[in-house]
Amino acid sequence: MRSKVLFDPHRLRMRSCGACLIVAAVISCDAPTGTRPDFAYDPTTLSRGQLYRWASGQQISVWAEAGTGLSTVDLGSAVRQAMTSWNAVPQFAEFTLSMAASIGEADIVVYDRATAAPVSLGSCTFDPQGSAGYTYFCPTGPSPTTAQKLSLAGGGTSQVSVLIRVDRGRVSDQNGYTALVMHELGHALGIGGHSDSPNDLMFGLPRATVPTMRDRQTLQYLLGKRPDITL
Amino acid sequence: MARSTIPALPRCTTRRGVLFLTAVLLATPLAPQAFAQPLGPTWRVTAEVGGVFGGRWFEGNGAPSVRTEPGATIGVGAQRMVGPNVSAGVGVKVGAQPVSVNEDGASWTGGTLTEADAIGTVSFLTAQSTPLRPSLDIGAGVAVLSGARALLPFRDASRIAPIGEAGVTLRRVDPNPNKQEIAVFVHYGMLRLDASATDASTISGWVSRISAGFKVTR
Repeated sequence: MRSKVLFDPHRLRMRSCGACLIVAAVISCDAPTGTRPDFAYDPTTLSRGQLYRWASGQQISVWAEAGTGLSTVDLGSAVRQAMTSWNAVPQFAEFTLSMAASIGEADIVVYDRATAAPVSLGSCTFDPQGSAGYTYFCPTGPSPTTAQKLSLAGGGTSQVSVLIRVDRGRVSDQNGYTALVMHELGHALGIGGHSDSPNDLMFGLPRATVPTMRDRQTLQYLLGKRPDITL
Repeated sequence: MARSTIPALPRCTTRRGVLFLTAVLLATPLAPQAFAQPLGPTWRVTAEVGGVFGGRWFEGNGAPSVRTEPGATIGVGAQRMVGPNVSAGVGVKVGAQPVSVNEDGASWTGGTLTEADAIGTVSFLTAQSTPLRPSLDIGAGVAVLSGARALLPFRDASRIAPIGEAGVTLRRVDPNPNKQEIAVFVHYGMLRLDASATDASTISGWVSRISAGFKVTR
């Protein structure tokens, strides 16, 4: 009677199936995994140690204020190329850059020094000091804080919280202009520092025309950090 | 025996699936005697509709976790009896699940993951001579993934992945084999995702999900 129970094929089959399922459960706990990269250079040296970025998952609309008299270079083309390059960097869809249908819907406005600023400045100091490119936002409120929304120059509210000014007079051609816009857009996305390597796009005087691996790592790193300032 | 082992497993969503399937195994007698075949010896067409739940696609170590929310599936296939208590089938099904990303208390959408599965299944039916008859199903095949390409692990992962599944189907058998048969099923599935195709920082792993729904066989 006892041997019948021990060697019952039905029970053995059930136990085998159960063992297989337990093995399957153990290995299936092993989900795909990975880590964020470490930064290649400090992304907070220009922002007084404050880490700033957009809220995760945000669709960021960019408006290029082309203006008039820009015959030698194309700001819209430079902005589109810069957006394409930066859109390839996030690992987890932390942001997506797209062109705004109107300036009122934009989160970031890019304009050239040759044209008037299309938005009014916030309460913070705007001091480009003749630099080729300048990225401006104005934190407001207690820490952790948010960036102030800038009003349109002609009056009216907007979603704009970051203003980028570039100077076509400081570049020789469209490639240089694109690199300049791309560099400033890197600042607008959260890289509040400059690389110490001349090969990187985020070097103070950029020669690279696309974000390098070090630029990508630095942005990917900061996208995983809790920001002191949310744009 | 199995019950005393399961609580020691790592804590993850998979445990629920194992508990479920173990309970089914213990409750489902696989009798040796023959019984009337519910499907008949010829190929019969099946159609199914259901939902798919769970899916831990990426577990970050200092990075976000990527999961899929409940989604819907539809499928078609064919099956036939291959033994007194055994049926075999093949089928394809497609489904879509929203992808959510979570990190440090924040969550955002990662798009929609769509999946097409081609799978072969073997079902072991019980000997109960009642109108409702359960079976234990085991299947294997391949899944073709698309969508959600803006984020890891889908961005760099192989689009084709091997899959396996096990579960139960409860059939309402009609004495007339020419009439359609209605069934409900619950399956626990696993997918092996090769996530390290181009991104060295990503490690491959297993993804488990539970699917449930209705199936009609004619």
